[in-house]
Amino acid sequence: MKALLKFELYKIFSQKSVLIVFALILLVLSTLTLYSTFSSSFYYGKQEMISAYKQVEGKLSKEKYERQEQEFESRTKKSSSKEDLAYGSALIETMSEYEDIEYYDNLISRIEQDLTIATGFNYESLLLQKLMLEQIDLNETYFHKGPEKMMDYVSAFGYMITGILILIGLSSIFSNEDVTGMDQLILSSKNGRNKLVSAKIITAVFFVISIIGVQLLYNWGIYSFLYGNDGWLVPLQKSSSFMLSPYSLNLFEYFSIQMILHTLFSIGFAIFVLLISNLCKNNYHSIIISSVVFVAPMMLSFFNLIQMSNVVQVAKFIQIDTIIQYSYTYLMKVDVLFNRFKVFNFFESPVLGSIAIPTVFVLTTLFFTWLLYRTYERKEVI
Amino acid sequence: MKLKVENVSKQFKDKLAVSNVSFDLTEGVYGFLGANGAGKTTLMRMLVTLLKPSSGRILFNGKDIDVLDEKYRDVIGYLPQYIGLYKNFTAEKYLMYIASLKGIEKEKAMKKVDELLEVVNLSEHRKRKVGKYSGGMKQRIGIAQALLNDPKVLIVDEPTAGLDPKERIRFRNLLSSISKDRIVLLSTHIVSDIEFIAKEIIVIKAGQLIHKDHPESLLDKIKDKVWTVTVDENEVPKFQAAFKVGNIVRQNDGVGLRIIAEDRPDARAIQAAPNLEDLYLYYFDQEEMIK
Ligand SMILES: Nc1ncnc2c1ncn2[C@@H]1O[C@H](COP(=O)(O)OP(=O)(O)O)[C@@H](O)[C@H]1O
Ligand SMILES: [Mg+2]
Repeated sequence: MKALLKFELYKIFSQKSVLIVFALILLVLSTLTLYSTFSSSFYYGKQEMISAYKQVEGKLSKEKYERQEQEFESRTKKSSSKEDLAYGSALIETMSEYEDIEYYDNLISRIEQDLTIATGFNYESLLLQKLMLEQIDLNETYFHKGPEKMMDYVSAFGYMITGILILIGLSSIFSNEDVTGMDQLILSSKNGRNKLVSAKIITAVFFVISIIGVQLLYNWGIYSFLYGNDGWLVPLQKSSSFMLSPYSLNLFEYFSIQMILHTLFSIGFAIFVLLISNLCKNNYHSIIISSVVFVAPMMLSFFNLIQMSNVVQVAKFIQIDTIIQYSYTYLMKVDVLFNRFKVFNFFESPVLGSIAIPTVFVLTTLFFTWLLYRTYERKEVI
Repeated sequence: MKLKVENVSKQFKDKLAVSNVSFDLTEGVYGFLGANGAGKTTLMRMLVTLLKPSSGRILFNGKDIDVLDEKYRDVIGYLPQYIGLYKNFTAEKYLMYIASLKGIEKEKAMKKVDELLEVVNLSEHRKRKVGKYSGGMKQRIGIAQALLNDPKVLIVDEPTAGLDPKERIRFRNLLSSISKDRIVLLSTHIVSDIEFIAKEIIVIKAGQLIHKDHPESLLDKIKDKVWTVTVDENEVPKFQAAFKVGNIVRQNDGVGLRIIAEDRPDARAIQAAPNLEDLYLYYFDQEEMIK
């Protein structure tokens, strides 16, 4: 089994196309990121931003801001240096954070009102939401641009890069054996059925973990270079894409959960790709079918976005939004599980989406894994 | 040791490729003779678990091979008609990979690979990529991979196709030297491959088993049906139209024909001792015959 695994790893990792595509993507992405950051009028330099924030960091208070704002305005009347600009934007950002606190307070009191008339499942889920929101403490502010960008990486680029590499690297893992005629030797050999599937699954998992690992390093490298590494302990809600999130997590906690779930969903997608590869006799069919499954949700939501009226109508009719939400593509972004309050009704008690969806996902993936073993066990060379 | 094929059929969508075939195999070399499309490959694929019979079963020492599963696949060696290769693997790596599929541990596999590369005369090409191999070399590495696990049951599908005459002789000798204590089943439509080494010959036609017997007994069945006759050159087409004509040799006094016929085809004809080629011709059409 060890020797078999080594060969499977070799076969997957020696595919030059995967390495080349991976390197190219990261190169292009780096160029774009660096170019757009340095040419942006909102980037004032890492050190400048950190020291500007130092002046506003700490406990939020209305008086403090009003004082600082007035002082800032009188000072910048004469001239505005890079440091001043950084300071100004830090001030504006922290002021908007102050508004967020008001939003949460309002939300909690609204829920309290609703609770007085709600019953059953509704009551339970409102109660859960209230309890969660009460855990969140947004009263302090700290510079956290680095961690925030690293978090956004997965939902902006990471999911797509991982998906594309899985498609290129793994979609021919079984079908290529048919193409080369090796299936005749493999399927008639002692370890060529069950043990080989295990070896290929382990290989796929290893592959997924490696490409995510490399991206993790890349992501950390480029954004700590641009924005530094401070702010991991800031609450999740301080990141703009999670303003409405009910989860009381800091950026580091969320980032860890995100990486674990991204890996889990990516492995699930890889297993799906393996299953398709096993059912196809031809590498092209395999990659096309899997790619359609991966790309279709993006296309559909794009059409939805640009409001192509007839597409939208069809989409509404088949509840496309729901399907898209639970597609591999969107789950691999992970953020959809955490950016708002979502519960499922499980025998009249509320179960959080962030628990229910990964659970169902794991069960589905286990089923696909079983199906993969099952179909391969009975595979015939036709 | 006994491999028993019991009422086995294989139905593809609209084609019955193998039809209710039964036979037993014990230690020794068996020649599997049939024209193209007769069902040899299909039957062999069932014997190596690549296909499941549509009906009937295959037993190894009394147990269904489907139930034996890994235990059965552990004792077989298989050389497919068209061998599968990873083009960018060297011969050595390729064999080590097959060894890992067969569950042979590394030390033992390395020894066995050395030994078999020697046997098939590829030692000096072991570091070359198999994608660069000639047809004959591919066939030889194919034989080597089939033998890696010292199979008790060796199944080789048209192994001599693509080999030159010298290689064919080598291969035949190799097979007969390893056939002791093994079941070897070799399919071919080339009669001379099995003429001298087969313990028994299994003749299959259109998916059906028509004979399974020792070569001598099979020949005995056609002993009064083979004739030779020397005719004038312009008579040849007439004979070809009317009879199954095998060998045609130009002689000083005309053209010598070897004819398979129930009755004397011509007054000048004399009876000859039958050989396997005649047997093949007797069962199959002339155009299918390759000498
Ligand atoms: N996968 C398949 N699907 C449909 N028909 C097939 C398939 N494989 C073989 N056949 C048919 O079954 C018959 C036997 O083929 P095969 O076993 O390859 O014969 P042989 O090896 O004796 O030349 C042929 O008529 C062939 O066309
Ligand atoms: Mg064949």
